[in-house]
Amino acid sequence: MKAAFVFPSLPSARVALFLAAFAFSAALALPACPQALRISSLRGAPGGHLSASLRAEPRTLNPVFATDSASRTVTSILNADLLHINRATDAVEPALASSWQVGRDGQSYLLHLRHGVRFSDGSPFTADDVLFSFRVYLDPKLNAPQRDLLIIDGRPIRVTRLGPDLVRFDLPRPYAAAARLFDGIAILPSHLLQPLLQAGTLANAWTLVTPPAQLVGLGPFRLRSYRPGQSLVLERNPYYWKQDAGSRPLPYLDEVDFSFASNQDAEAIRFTAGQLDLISRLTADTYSSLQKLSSSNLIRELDGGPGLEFDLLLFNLNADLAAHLPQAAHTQTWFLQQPFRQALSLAVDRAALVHLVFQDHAVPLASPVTPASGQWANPALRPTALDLPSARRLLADAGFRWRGAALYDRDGNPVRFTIIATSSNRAQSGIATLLAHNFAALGIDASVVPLEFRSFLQRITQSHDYDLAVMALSAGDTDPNGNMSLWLSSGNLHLWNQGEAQPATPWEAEIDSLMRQQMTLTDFRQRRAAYFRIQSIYAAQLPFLSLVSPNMLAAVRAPLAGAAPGPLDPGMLDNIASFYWRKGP
Amino acid sequence: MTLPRAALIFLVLYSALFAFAGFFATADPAAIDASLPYLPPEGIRFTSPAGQFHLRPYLVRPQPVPGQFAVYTRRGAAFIPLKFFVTTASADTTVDASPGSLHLCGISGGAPHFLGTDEFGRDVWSRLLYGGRTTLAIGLTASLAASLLALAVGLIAGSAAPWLDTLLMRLVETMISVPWFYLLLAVRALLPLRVSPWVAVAASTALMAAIGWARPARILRGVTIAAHQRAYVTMARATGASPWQIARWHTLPDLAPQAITQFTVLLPQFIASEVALSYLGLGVTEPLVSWGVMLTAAQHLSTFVEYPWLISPIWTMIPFFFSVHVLADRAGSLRPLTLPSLSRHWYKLPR
Amino acid sequence: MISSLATRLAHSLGSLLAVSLLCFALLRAAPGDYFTTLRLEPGLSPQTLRSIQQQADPRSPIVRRYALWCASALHGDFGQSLAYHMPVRALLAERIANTLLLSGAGLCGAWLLGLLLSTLRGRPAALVRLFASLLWSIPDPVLAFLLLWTALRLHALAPLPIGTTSPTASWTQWSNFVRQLALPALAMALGYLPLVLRHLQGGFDAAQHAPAVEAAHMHGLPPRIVLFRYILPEAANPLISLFGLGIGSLLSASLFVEVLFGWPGLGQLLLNAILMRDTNVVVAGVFCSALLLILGNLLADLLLWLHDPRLREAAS
Repeated sequence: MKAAFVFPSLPSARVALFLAAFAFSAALALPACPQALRISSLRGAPGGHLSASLRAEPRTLNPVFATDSASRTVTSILNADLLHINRATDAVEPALASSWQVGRDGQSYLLHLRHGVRFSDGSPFTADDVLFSFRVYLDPKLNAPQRDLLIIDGRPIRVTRLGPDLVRFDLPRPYAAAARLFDGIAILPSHLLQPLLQAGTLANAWTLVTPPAQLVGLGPFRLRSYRPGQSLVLERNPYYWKQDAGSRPLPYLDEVDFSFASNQDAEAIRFTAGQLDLISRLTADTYSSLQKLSSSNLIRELDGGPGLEFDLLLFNLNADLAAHLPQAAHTQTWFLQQPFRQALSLAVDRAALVHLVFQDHAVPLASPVTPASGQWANPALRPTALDLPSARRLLADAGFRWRGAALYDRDGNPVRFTIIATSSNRAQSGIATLLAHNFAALGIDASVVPLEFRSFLQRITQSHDYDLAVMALSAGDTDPNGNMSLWLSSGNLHLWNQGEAQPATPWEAEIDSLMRQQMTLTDFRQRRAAYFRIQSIYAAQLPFLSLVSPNMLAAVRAPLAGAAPGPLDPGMLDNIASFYWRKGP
Repeated sequence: MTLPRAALIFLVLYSALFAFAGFFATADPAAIDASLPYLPPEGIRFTSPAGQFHLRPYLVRPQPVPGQFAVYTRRGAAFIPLKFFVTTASADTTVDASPGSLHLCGISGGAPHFLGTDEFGRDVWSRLLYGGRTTLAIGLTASLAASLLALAVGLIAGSAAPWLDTLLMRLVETMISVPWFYLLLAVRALLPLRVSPWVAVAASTALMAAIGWARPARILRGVTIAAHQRAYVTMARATGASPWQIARWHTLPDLAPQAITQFTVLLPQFIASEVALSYLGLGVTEPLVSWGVMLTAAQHLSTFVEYPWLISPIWTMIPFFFSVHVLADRAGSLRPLTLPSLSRHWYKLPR
Repeated sequence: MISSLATRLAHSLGSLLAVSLLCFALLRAAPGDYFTTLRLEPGLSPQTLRSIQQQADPRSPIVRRYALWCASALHGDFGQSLAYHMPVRALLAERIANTLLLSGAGLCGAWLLGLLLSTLRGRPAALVRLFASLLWSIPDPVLAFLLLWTALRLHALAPLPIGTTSPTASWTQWSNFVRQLALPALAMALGYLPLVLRHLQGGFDAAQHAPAVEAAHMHGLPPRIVLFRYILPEAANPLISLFGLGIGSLLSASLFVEVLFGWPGLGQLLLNAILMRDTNVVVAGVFCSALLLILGNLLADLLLWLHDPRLREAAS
């Protein structure tokens, strides 16, 4: 052990003591009983069955290849990670690793694995499983979507086994809040999957038709049965490693079944008919109709406030339009002018969006950093309020003129463009309709073009054949590091101008350097100052308009305790291990 | 009065309502009023708030409950006298009703909402009329085109050489098997992003006609073959009539009632396909209104549970299609359909 | 007969090939592909995306792809689903069964109801005719929608299960299943009823005046015997054809109902697969419904051939 490990917040003298005490207690505890994670605030009642639903059928049960939300939800319940972000406090907490230490250089992490933990088939969990899992995620042939997150500056994270319950992770360079990287990285059973990896068949392992006995994880539940197109039943994992305050093993629930609802309406109907116990990720109109549909006060509605998702109006600022998209290139000449973007922002009635589209279950935004990001959101920025006179002044100063009610640019062309939106998403097409109405007040002829989802995405990410687009994005994490791909000019969510080899503008270059800088800083205040600066640059330049952030809405059957909507995946079901049914009246 | 006659009169009156949508409408169908989302239908009273009888009806406008979304109360409702034969203010630019056009009724400083408003405070009654005009125009044109196409194909397949018949019927089979309305994703990409509403209408009409002909063609082919079995056709053939003459004077009259039936069957189907098309971004788009557009927005559970007036296109279309159907029945199409069979040569008499 | 059947099957094979090729081409022409959504996956580099795509669905000329698909279809597994990482056949099997159950129940319901209603005479018959006209003038999806709406309105009175749950015990499973089937099957049956009713009524009316039937009446046979022994055989030909058509559309007719009621059938799978551009699933699904359509027609013609001696004579 060459690097000196310290707890980041503790003075070193106390650390030594703590470490010694830790080693001592561990040595005592090891042979006697498994070292479970006790949640001291939790006192629930065991037993019961939970019926939930998924908006789509999961496509795979393999956590390495799950990319759709349904598969991710299920795999996150079947599996566990080394460290876990507490959705309520946003802090990183021990999970399969009972504690961790960061090296002085901020580049190496030492994780102590919880001992006595068993997989859902009863076989023990060891450092070999951790090593195996990271080998799978980093395998270039498997192309796991998590792989790119674990590769920093083109070099993979190095994982070393230091003992049966001690693993060291070496990062290629200092990385702020690297502990958050471990959240959601499922630990796989090497005793089952190792042969498949060697045989090269891991990519087709753990599909929906895999026999439940072969699907083994460390999560609170394990698979019992699957009926294609209908349901997925999970049962309690008897080997789960968490306990409540009374040392009662979690999870409380005996069984969870997921049925597949094709859409939110079908889900809401089943919920009111008593066939589902909880539904989440509701739209505002479904949320408000639930009360009227259910005849009694047996349900509890939960409004978790704004999440990490936000709706935005995207300007097409891509540099490759001139050659083959003359129409888009023509409208782009307006969008490239910062005052024009500013004027459009001033013309948007965000309050009306919140009221009419989200029935007041949303908040207007100043930047893509939503209130759910807590202290990362720059408090100096306020959402732009509707201000038509200022918008007109900005346009007039930029050389735009009005003939009658219609707006014309400096060269005498009428200002008219299209706003594309996803036709199946009611909120987004509603936003587009209202925006077109708002822009009409400036004399702009904007027409809404609803498109099927993938056709829409193809225009945004591949053909670039559009003027403006209404869409929703969700921040990957509250921490700035989770939003690299949005801010970096080379990121794949840098949608307004994709695939820049070099930052196209000085301010994009500044954002790039600030973003890279904060990533290596370990001081929270310095990082936050850099992120505030990025948000101010955004607000001055407005490469896209952040409109609103919808609230996280859910509903549960009233006696169900422990469920709360959360901003990070898998939302409400994250702490399903501590769900329980309240007894009696 | 017999049922068909009643249906005819009803149909004429009803069509007038949609044909003169601009006159009967009370507001611009695309005008957004953010202050009145989901307003329930407003009542009409012939009594004043004090309870006295007035010949001039009052519009009873419920008041929004402050602090709650789209909740209105009848308590303290405003009684607004209704005016008749009003001209629109110049600011009121309807999709096609020019400023200064005449309307049947209105109120000063706003618009009456007889059928309430939708999510953006747009007048449902006006949208219903304008939307009906678009939808019925598309539906009738597309059904007519598809029926004529089906008639032509059916007639050719039923009377031409066997190889052509086989070819056409396999084509029909292929057409019927493919879920066209969902596979036409590529068509939107062929059109420019900004298409004028009228191009969109023409495109969806053409698409519906191009897809809808197959099923009726198959039935009409069966009828053609049956018609060819009749004695007078054999007689005509024996006297040396050309195939064209036989088709014109003997087969076509036999086919006409069946073709009319097929037309009435297609008509309601096209309304449904309009909803599917709008999903692909192909159908009628704002600011033009159609019943398909209205129903696409209303098909959500919350809408039809909480705001039932938004599914008014359904209650409007059913009487229309019903009377069309009654009339078509009257046109003498009440005879069993003869359906295609394994090989039509079995039916044919030896030449 | 045998040779006629053989040519018929050969021709049908042609349209099956055409259908699958058409689906392939249309999906290929559609903007975006299965991997489009991965482009919004934060932190997924373009290189990784390319290699995922290369591994799962190598871009090759459509002819080559189609040939590969045909080969897998001959093997009976219809290739691999992009979204579900499993063979399409396994994916389709249960949903086809579900859809057949729903449409089958709907079809049987429509025929039973139709036969019952069409035996009525006089004023009730006129009412039935009016009812059929009314049903005929409501678009099928709207009809299903109205049924759901009514069920929800009545829900306050009696809980009505809609959609499927995951049943546990076997007997409650069945009773649940039947109750859940009732509403969507009713929607299917009501959509199909006017067509059946019209054919039955028309057929019976025409058969009333057939010489054999008139003779039977004159011999004083009881009406029920006349109906089953004389009228039904007389009116059977178009009815058999209609029945064949119904069998043929079993897989394709229920899309709207499935989506609206959340029935886990082929239609819903197919719609999602189209929206996800999961080509192999779409082509296989459409292929199956086309196959059933052709087989349905074939069945109808065979029945006709067995039923009607005139046809057999003409053929020989």
